[in-house]
Amino acid sequence: MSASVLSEFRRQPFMAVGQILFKTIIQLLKSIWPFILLVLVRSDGERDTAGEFILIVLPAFALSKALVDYFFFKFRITEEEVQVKTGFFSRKQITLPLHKIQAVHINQSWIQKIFNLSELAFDTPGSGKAEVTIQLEKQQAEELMAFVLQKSTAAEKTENNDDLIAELSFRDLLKLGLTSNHFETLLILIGLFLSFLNNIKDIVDDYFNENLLEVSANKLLESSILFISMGVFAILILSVVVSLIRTILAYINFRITKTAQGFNISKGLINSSQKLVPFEKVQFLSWKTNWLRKQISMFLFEFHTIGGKEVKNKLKIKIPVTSELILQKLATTYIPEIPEHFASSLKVHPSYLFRNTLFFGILPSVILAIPLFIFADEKALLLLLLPFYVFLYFWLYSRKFLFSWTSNLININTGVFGKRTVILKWEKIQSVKISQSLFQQRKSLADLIVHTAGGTITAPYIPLEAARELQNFALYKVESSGEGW
Amino acid sequence: MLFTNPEIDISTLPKAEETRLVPVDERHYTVLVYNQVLYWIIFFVATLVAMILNREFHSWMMTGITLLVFATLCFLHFRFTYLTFKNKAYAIREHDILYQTGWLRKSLHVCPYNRIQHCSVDAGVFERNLGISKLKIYTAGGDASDIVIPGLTPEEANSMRELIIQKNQQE
Repeated sequence: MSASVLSEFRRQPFMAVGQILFKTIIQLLKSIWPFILLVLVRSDGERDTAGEFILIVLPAFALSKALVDYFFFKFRITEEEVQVKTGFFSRKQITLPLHKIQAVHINQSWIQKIFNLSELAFDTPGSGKAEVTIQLEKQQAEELMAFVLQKSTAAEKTENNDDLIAELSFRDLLKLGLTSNHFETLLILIGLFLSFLNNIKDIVDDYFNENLLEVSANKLLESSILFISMGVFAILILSVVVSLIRTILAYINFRITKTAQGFNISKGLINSSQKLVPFEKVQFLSWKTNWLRKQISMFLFEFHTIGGKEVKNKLKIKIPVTSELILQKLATTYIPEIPEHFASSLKVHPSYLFRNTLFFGILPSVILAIPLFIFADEKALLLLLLPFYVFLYFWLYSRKFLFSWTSNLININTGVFGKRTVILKWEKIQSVKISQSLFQQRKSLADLIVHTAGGTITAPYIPLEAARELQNFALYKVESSGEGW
Repeated sequence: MLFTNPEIDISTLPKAEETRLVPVDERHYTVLVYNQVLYWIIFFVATLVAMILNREFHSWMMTGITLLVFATLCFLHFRFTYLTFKNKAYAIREHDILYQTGWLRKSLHVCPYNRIQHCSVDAGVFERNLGISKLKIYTAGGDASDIVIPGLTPEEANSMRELIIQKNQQE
């Protein structure tokens, strides 16, 4: 492998210019598309300086930026480190020691596919800013990934027997798509539609000098209730279809294998990505399911790894799991066996429900509704429905919340409309905090807050005595364990 | 025997809540008061400017109400700060460090030495003038997991830092 170590500073393959150019153009378009649309609508055959600006200056700008980005990006990979030099105006050199690298990903977007390129991304602890991505030819990227992984986890290396854990069949994909959160998709669609409408409206308003869209929309609305109900139905169908497509695009070719260093996850058709989750970086596990998915025993499993927010988002992969067996396989490197029953468990105190309903439901709705009612109109009274929703929310939450533990691990069940399970080993805890509001102090209740490198876990409104015992036990486990985390 | 795993009786474990906590230095309160006075002066000037510019406030009643609200908020803020300060205390145990703070929301935060990433001693402008420092302890658990102990003499802070580093290497 050492032969292919790129110990001299070099540029990325020339094809990378195409990819950078494309990325720049997309970024440009994203930020100024309403402006372009406006110009296009306005230009009526006459010479138009703004139109010329767009047609000449912007492509020139994008091209020169891409070229500068390309020519001033140099990298090398030695036996010890990855080095990258970038920047024209402000020069920057990044050095990444190989043994510090937490994970390596290969991503390939469809545009990169055209140019036969892959993106090699390195994750380090600390901030996500120092993170490095390099574009390479696909094969070279894979070779380098293997090389870097070999160096970064040089300690105990066994034969590379990739063990296939799960693949998604098309039926699984369909199931996953149909049971996904259509409400979320609906909200996204509505959001997209509204922002689109707003942008269009601004332009059209300007152009016609009258509120054409609003007038016609109002007419349509008045025309019939049938129309509205048909519209609602169409939107519902659309959101199911869209979420199905979203799921399929996200999870097609999904494959998870277990290698010597960690779990290798690859997926995607248009933007394919391959990620490696090293075993030792996993801080805790979680999986969740909603009512529909529970019926067909399907879960979304997640590894919570160490690292800054951005790194975590990159490694954050929801793994669809179609059976308990696969779940067991994924969990096994973290914890050999998940117990069925727990000796000790805690529920949240009923006052959690009432306090939260008061503070997040009743108080805000009263404070907002009264002045709005006085100064605006009766619609403000709709705000009085808020407390009921908040009550329902916290009622479901406190009903499902269960904090249970054994001498090895903590198991937390939470959820509002679905169910989420978290498994945390005591040794992975970084610090423990007991926090009490004045009310909790009076009632001898406390929040137990457990910080791990993968995120924070809170057990709200549990008895103070229990919180203290858990705190002491957690400290005992952390301090007596010789292992790191 | 290669491996033993006896059951642990939780009640025999050392109790963090029974540790004798050391309150932070009084001078830390002075720093808090300085900061607060500065904050309220800026706020007061801003309010004054707003009142002068806005004609509605050119009546004794409005001025009175505004000043009253201002004074009440100011008083409450100072009171809260004092009560919070009274609860600020820390302790050093053999394997971990404890920090208690808060009044509206009181908390006891414990961080084991073998989970500490690094620590630093620093001091702001007021703190330097009064001769105190604060010890910052960083873990891998993110910002919320870090502990900042204010109101230490520089000697205390530095020796605590030395101790933590030493303990960290041992464990």
